[in-house]
Amino acid sequence: MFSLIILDCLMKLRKERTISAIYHLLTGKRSSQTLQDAHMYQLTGYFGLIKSLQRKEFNKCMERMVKNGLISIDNDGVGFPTKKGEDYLITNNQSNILEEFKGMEYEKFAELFSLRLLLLIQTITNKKAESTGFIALTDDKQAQLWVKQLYRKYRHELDQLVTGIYHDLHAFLSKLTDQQASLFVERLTGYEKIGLSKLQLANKYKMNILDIEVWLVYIYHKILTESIHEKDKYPYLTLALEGIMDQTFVTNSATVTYNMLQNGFTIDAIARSRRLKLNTIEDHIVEIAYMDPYFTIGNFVGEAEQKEMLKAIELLQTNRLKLIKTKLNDKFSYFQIRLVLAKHRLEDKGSM
Amino acid sequence: MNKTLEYYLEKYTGHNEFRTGQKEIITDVLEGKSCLGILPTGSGKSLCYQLPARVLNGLVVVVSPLISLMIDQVKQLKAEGFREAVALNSFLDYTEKQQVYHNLDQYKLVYVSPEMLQNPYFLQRLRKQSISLFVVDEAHCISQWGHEFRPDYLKLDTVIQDIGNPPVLALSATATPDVQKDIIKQLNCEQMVKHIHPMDRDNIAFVVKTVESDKYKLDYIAALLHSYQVPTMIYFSSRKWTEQAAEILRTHVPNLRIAFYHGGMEQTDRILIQQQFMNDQLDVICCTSAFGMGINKKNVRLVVHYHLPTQVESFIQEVGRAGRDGEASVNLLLSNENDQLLPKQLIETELPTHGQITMLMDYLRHLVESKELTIDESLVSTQFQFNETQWRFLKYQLEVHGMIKEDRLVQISSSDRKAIVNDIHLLVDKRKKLKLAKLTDLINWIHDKGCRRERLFLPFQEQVRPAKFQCCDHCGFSFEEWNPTITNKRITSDNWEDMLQSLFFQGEHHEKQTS
Repeated sequence: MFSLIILDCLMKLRKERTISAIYHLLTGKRSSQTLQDAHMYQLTGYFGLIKSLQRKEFNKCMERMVKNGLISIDNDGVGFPTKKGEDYLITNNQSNILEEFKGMEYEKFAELFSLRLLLLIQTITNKKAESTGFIALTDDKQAQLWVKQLYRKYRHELDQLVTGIYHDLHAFLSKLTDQQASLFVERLTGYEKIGLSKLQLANKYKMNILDIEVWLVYIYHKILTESIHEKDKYPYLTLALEGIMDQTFVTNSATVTYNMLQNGFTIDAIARSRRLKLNTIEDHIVEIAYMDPYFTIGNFVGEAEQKEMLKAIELLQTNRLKLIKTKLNDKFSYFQIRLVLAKHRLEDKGSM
Repeated sequence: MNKTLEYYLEKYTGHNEFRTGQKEIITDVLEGKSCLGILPTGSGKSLCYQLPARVLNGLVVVVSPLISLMIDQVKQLKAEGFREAVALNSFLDYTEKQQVYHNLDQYKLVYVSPEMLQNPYFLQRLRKQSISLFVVDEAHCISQWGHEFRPDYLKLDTVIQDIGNPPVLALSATATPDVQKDIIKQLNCEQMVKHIHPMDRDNIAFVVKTVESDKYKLDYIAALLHSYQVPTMIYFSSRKWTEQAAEILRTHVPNLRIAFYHGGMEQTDRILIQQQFMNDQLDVICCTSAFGMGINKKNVRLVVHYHLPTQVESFIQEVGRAGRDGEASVNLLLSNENDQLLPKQLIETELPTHGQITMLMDYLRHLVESKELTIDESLVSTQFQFNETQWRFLKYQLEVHGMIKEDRLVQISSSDRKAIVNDIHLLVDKRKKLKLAKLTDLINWIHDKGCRRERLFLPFQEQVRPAKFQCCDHCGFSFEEWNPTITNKRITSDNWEDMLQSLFFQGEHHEKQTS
């Protein structure tokens, strides 16, 4: 599976990028280059699939693919599939399985969703067995808090919750191949059943550990897609989506600003009618640009101007607002620069 | 009073009986007496302060040298519903630490690393609390003659005084009579009540098997595991070896469930593997000494040493993980003429070399001369390639010799500097010699012709109990006569639907259990 992803990336990159670009894409690097690449070459689905991927491991994998005659890499580090590689990709991607990866789309919540689900299953199966002493399989505070709250709500209907999650999972897993379903279930931890580590899965299913990684991500992305689009079919799995989907903006106030913008208000008008400072509204807009991938900033910064700024940012190799502003001879306001950074998912390092 | 103690035990842990030694220590502790408790590995030392922490008013402070162990313990306590416990160590970031400092009064049990107790601000906060008990875990670390000397431990007596002389409980699993005396002396606690329990384990047989070279060791283990499919731990001295051995054994004994464990694994995987072994989902663990601390699996039947530890004390601790349920268990040590090589290398890396020391001193002089009085510890460590143990040792020496005061460098004369370098060189040599002598003790034990049980435990106690089952290879041990209880393997299906059903208590075969 991992090689399929690599092959697909190389096909789409059309020899225009080095293999490093794929590494940055898979690890979800927040640089303008990587984000632009992802959009330009239709590779957003693979963005941040394996955040923990080590460069060494990635290189080893590339070498293996070269050795197996699936890809070639030239002296400049530009990779491309061989004929054998192309055939391999076509035969193995007949059901368009690769299109089900939604890396960038689910970036913000895929991990939290999976942690919630795993911890919920561990908790309710242990509670059902009246076992109190179990060690939580994740330290993630957000996930723990959510499970605690949900459990409190369902404490008196525990059986219903256990059965509900079971039926939802069963219905979902039935749509997968037996092997995919097995991988998912073996990874679960419950009462007196501790899940397997990724390495153990790799050994048991005779797969490369990177393949295990991407299969697990694949399954979680698929659960997300199913439960987002068919909420009625998975009433219990959908519980784990609570709050992470509509948490588009951090602040409620930004949501109000967002709605007003959609209705054609200008920044000044919003500030006046809400009796807020101009700065505050600008903060909201930056937040919105960051959270909503479909938000256009064209009203505040033109296309050409955006390009000019991105070029300067690339040249300076910095996201520091002050430096960028000076470099551009104070032609743009801090607001405009922050907006461009946000839109292109670059971290704002402050004006110092 | 006694009735109450058992009541609390039942209430907080669900057990209805104390294990050997626990009740006496807890009784003394609750009466405000200071105690020295020497209890064998796996006898539940931590209960001796965890139970008092719940019962007593005020805060119980536990000094522990092992950060991973304290984190595991706090997790375990929280899982058992004891939420007023916290681990304070260098892994927490600034805000997290501040949060604990400011809410100290809301905790009943705080684990701290010895370094934390040197933080003036933390000490100031501690002074405002009423401390009901000060616990020194792994108390042998305080002794230069102990096997895991930690310089930071030598400062504990001042800390105890500083926070108002609360009762002290010093605990260790492996302390010779000399080390015991040293603990009492260093803690400045002559009035300590001693609770010394023998550390010999009468249900463990000791076997040394000499093989021609390392490559036969795994063959031997594989053959043994073929006949005895029992919960097994195999100790190695390097992380890489645990991984390789697990893989090789897996191909040799495919019907056994084998995994490796070491400190370099990511947190989630470590928890999963540990829990699987506890839960009898794994048969064999290939591990480094990082495994086993703080976990309490009762039915380990076989402990194998593929590599030697560096001293008898560690060996005894590792052996002690076998047969905690009292049933017939075996320790097997695989030996050949190269036994000493790896432990010797380890000892070498525990202390800085003369060259490193000289270079560091030159560098420090340079700093002082250019009026740069603070040391960037991580920079120094990378520049002179010190590992954690080496740097801790050196920093302490610099403090002792007055070159560092309150984390700032102090100007000294060049003749003083020369004398100090010389002193530290001598000390390093002395400690190395001591460590090598400890290794030699272990090597001698291997080659000794006498009863292994006696020779191993006599340095620690006056008498060694006779073996409950077989004794050792010098007293006629044979594997043929070893009939360990076999833990029934759970029969699990590989079919995902079955697995899912049983996980969620669905389907027919679970109706009975849940209704």
